[in-house]
Amino acid sequence: MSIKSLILSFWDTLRTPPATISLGVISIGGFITGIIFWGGFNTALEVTNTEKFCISCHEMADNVYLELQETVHWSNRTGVRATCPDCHVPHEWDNKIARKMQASKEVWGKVFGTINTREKFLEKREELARHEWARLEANNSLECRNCHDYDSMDWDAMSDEAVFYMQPAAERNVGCIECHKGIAHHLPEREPGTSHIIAQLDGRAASSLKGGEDYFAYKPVKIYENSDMSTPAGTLNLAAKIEVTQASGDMVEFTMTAWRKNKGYGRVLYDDFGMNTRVAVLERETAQDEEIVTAGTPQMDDNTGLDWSEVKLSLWAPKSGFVADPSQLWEVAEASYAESCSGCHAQPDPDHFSTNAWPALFSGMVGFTNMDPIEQELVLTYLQNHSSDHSDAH
Amino acid sequence: MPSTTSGNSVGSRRREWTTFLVLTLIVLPALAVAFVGGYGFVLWMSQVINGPPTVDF
Repeated sequence: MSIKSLILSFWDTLRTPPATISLGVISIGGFITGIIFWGGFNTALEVTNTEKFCISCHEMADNVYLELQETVHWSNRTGVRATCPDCHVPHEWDNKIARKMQASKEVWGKVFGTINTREKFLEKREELARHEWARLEANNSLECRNCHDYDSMDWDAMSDEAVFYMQPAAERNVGCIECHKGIAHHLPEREPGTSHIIAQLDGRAASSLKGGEDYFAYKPVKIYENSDMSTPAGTLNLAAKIEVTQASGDMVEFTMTAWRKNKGYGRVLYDDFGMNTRVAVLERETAQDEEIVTAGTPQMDDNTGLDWSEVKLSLWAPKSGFVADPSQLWEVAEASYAESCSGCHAQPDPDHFSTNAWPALFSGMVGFTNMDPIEQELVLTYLQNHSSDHSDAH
Repeated sequence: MPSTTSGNSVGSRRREWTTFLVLTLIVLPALAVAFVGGYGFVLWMSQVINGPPTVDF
């Protein structure tokens, strides 16, 4: 019997009133199998919604599950704990089903070993974390709020510091994840070279550096005393301005005008007189070499009593790492500043504080953000370059 | 309907029971799972395009 005739005979039987089975047996049989199916379906949903099921894959058990055990969501004075699905599976039915379907991607990853080693997991962690952050940012931290509620917070039971940050957040109904990233698992670790900020700026880099033009470093750039890179001279900071005099292969010779404090070896170079905006750090030998660094007449800064000198220097740098227009830097920095700082409070305008006040303010707050070192430096440089010292408004 | 089996009540009984069991135990559960799964898949794809679901508090 072919498959087609089998299906046809099945269909014929289906559309004919039964001759040998009673209506009662069919109704009761359908009713009971319906109940069993419904129960089985929900049981399957529930079983796949348990922590035991989640950690049956070593990818979960050996990475995120271990990290959770160091946190307050694992063990705390109340004895209430969060399990994987409490935070990571939507509780509302439609979105839960969508998430279950999404898990087919996780099955795929399991089968093909996408994150089957710790190294692979660490490499993917930022991408994975960003998915969860995006989900919680979109639903205003719904899964956190299934347990936590601003209205139920007892301000008197909190430390003064906690109230200081939590009360303004409650007033603005800020989603939990905006400030509490990394509360249950480790934050992604970033190497300076893998910064997503640098990746954005790489696309805006100047493709060729021409003599006589000004350029601005968009990442720390190692500089040299000569074109063969044999004698390191130091490092340019972000937004350091150079004027290219000549190009030779992959290197350019540049001149730079900056200021230094006439104290110590004068290794640190600043943007302007009396301004603590670092533009370069030189090697000790380079900083002391009067053939490379020529210093002008010292001027005293009344605020600190320190002598400052304008310096001109001529060194070599690789061609990569510069943009032609500093506004390329500031656009990226401004977006990063707004994103990282507006989560907890209204971020002050850059020109609300002076160039020399920003570093202390910034370092006091940056621990609450997830900025990598490069991003921190970029944002601080942006703030210093747009401070009240650079603005007509204040 | 094939006339060779229509008069045979044993064959007819067997055929009706097979059809009943295949329908209630295999075809309908599979269809139900496929519908729910398809719904979930459509939601997932809409989230890929429109971003994750938003909730107002």
